[in-house]
Amino acid sequence: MARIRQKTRHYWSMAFNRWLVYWLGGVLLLFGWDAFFLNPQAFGQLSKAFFNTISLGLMVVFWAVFLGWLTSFLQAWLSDYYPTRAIVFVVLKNQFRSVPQILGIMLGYIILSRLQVGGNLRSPIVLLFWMAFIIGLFIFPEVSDLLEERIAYFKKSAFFDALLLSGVSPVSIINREIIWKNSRLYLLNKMVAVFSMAVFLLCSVDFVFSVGLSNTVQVVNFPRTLGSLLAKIDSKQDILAMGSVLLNPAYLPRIFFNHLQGFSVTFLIVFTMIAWFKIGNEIARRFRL
Amino acid sequence: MNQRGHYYTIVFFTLLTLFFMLWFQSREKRVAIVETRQKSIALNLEDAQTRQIFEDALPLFYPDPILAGRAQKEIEQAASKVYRRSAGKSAIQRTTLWELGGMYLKFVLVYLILLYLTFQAVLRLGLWRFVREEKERATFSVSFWRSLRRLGKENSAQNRIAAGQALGRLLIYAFGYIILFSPAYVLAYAFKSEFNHSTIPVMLALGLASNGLLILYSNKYYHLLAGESRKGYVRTALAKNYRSGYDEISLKAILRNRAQAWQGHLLQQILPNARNQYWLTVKEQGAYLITGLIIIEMGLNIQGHLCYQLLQEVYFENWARVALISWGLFMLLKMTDIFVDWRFQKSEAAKWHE
Repeated sequence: MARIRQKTRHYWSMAFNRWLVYWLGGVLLLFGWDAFFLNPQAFGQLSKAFFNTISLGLMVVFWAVFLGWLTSFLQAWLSDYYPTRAIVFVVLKNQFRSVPQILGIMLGYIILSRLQVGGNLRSPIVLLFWMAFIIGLFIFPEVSDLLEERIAYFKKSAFFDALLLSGVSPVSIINREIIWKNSRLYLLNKMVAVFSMAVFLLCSVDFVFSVGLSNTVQVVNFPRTLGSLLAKIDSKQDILAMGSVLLNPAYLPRIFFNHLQGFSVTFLIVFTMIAWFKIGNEIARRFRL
Repeated sequence: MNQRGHYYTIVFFTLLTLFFMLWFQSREKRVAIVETRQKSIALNLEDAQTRQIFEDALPLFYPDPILAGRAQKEIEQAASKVYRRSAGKSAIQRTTLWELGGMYLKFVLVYLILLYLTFQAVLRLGLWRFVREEKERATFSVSFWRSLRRLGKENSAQNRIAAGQALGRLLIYAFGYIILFSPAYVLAYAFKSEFNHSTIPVMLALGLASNGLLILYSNKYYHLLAGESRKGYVRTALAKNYRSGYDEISLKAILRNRAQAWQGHLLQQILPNARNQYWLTVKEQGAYLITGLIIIEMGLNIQGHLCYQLLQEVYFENWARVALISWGLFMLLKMTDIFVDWRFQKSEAAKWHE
């Protein structure tokens, strides 16, 4: 029992992150306030948009790690055994890195929209899954870069050769010894950065589509996210009102009652980005990454 | 990635774009013929006489007013779709290329200015944070908390002023964070609801101070500085009597960031090495900056700019032009990569030469 308690305490001290607590606290406080002062319809939309954004962000993290891990392993393996194929593989992989992320995601969304209109993507969960896949496709090179760097670092040291001489297979050395045992914390830190980036890109693409392409890409049929909620005209007016507080500070209290929808959406986007940046920093500092 | 890898990527992507452009061009020609036919039989409801005939004839086909209303809506939507699509549809011509070329040059100019400005700002912000940490200065929130505790113990005028100053610094810091982390469209709509005139200064300001770019990349530079400061050559420099105190480093010197200011100081050794390593991150910074500029132009609907035009082309489904603009953005990113790799190799070679 004492051992379990000791282990639980150890894992808690490892997992505890001050900024994660601040983020959860801030979000709960905002939703508590909104439950009282925001009209029920807008509150429902906000909750759904926040839930969709966070779920999509987490799914993007999964895809980015999966694709990043797979490609970095394949690249390391191919460069050892099939150098020519490795060059072809790198060229293909770099196509995703060389297209600006937002552009790639936009084009992917257009394809999804076409499929949806054609009746091929009816389930919202399947649609969320594919949206996350498309965003993950343009973020995974960041994860791949990190893992390639780690693999290259260990390959240079005696560690790699010593394990090979001990009879451990290269597949096991790369996946188990280098990535899982020696790069887990780096990967965790990257996952935090990927989540933050995914939320930013997702909100931006949805905002751009809702503002400029609502007829071509039917984002109204896509799951609502914080970006599409922000693009609504009343949210934009709320943001303008928030800007006016700089010149007229006496208007500040009215923001929390009269312009609550725009304030809540803006707060959730900006606060999530700041908090997750700080979470990543805290992990880097604690584990000296 | 070596230079040859970049060239392979460029050749592959260019061939892919050419294939799609030719395919879309031939497809668009076929679609245009069908649409001209559709347009010839579709009703032009903008014309008052046609609209009058349409409204008079509708009850003859749909006596039920509810059904007539639905039918009217559907016919109006179908007609407007045909007219909207054919109004914006056109293939790539020489004039289009000139027009897009002008927009592209404007985009490249804004990008280059911003890349230079953000690069310089990142170097200064990262160094400022590094020097602050080396001076072991408390964070703004901790110094405010300490000043409050001092005030609680002794309510003197001096402590009240100190607490006020600490609160002011904390508020400025928090406000700066909020501004720098806000997406560009949030910042822009907080000050203005439309963007039609003097857009380049707005784009420069938003590109510099939004989307979290400065904080993210200055954080990366800070980590490079911290990493360098722990390396063995720093101890060698200490043995050679280099100055190690950071109290002498003023904010003014950081803002100027000139090599002469660090003569005989550890920073003289640390800074060039950290900066050399940061060159590789400039590729990532450039890609993030292009994403930011696309968001700014599209999110704010800045007319006459490349990415707004791209949005329009998507809207009118001119896929050949979409492919051409995407290729232009790809090339910009690739040229940045090639330049950065060349610059990095040059500085590494210079280091070994020394």
